[in-house]
Amino acid sequence: MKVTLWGTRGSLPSSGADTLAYGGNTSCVEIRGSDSLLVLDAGSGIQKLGFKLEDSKKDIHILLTHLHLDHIQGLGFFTPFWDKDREIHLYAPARSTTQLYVQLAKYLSPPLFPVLLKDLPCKLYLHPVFRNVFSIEEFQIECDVICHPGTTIGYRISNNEATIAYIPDHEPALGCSHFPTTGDWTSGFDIAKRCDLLIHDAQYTLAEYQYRIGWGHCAINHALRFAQLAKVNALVTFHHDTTHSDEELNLMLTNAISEESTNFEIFPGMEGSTFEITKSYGIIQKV
Amino acid sequence: MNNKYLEKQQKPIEIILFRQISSLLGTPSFIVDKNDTVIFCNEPAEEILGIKFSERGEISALDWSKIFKIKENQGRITIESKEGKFKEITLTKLPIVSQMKEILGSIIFFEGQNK
Repeated sequence: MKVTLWGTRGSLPSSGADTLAYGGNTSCVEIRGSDSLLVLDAGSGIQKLGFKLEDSKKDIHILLTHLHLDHIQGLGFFTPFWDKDREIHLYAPARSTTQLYVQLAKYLSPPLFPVLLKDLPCKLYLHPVFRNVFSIEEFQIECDVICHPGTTIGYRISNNEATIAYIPDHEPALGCSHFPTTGDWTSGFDIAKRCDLLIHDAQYTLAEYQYRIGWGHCAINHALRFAQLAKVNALVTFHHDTTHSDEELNLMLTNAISEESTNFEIFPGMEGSTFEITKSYGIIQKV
Repeated sequence: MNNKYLEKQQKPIEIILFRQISSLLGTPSFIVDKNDTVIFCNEPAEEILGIKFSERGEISALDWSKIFKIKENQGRITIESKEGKFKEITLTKLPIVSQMKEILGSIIFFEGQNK
């Protein structure tokens, strides 16, 4: 399995000289199997992914964790949407009161976007998900609702070589006096447990988090504790705060690693990073 | 690394969040799962019921009814704790239902006083 980070920033794209290393695009991850492709979230990073996709890949499956703008703002700029020969499947959280089509159309319609969802040239299929297990080509996918405002899904994706867990927006410590407690009482635990690679929200320092409880995001220390609880093989820090520079992000990670007890690999989530995961060789990172 | 779909261990997020709320409230409350097993009891409830849930752990519906002899008389509910004290309690039960209409359990708020 090959995992490529096309956008690792949260909330708002953040361009500038001091964000060159971690990048400024919002959430988007590409997963490649032996002959299959999945896209996780459609933040601004999906635009560049769209330019690189080969024409041979006619069917594209995009798994959205939720419909906050930083996870869908790239949809209208994703080149395959404008290809009438492409079939695009969008998976997103089901809601009891509003159809998925109506929710997406709130963004992909005037005045927010000049083109109506129904007028996109591609063949578009929408798949509401909630607590499901399903397959896409060689991948088995498990979804569950996790702790983040609005209905938000965490995805666990497996093939014959590896299992990755994708929980980019997550506040597992919400309401906990001492985090973590036990796995059965922790949001996202089943999604993450014993995976090869966990891509997880690590937006705040502990100090910042004290003023942002209930915002739906995670202190980096909590991300490490969550990964430790779930006994993951490796963690990629993700959803970096839009105001944090490369230098600050490096310092956050260094401090968190020194403060927490961990026995897994930790990778800073940098735009452009690729991870190749195999049973034989484990995780190899290329930046 | 095991990449097979593993058996679920985790409680639904809706239940987890209700437990967090219950643990922070002064209102006595407990949470049951869809099988009516008591899976959490907050400290004010422990005080009234005379149990230490944290030491005892989950209580099945069958055990619950044995431990606290529950009687109802014209809408008034009394329980007898293991110390032999009778308490009249009023219950408010709120079902916990997911967006997809799955019944996940209930949270029960109650008030009680010694008779």
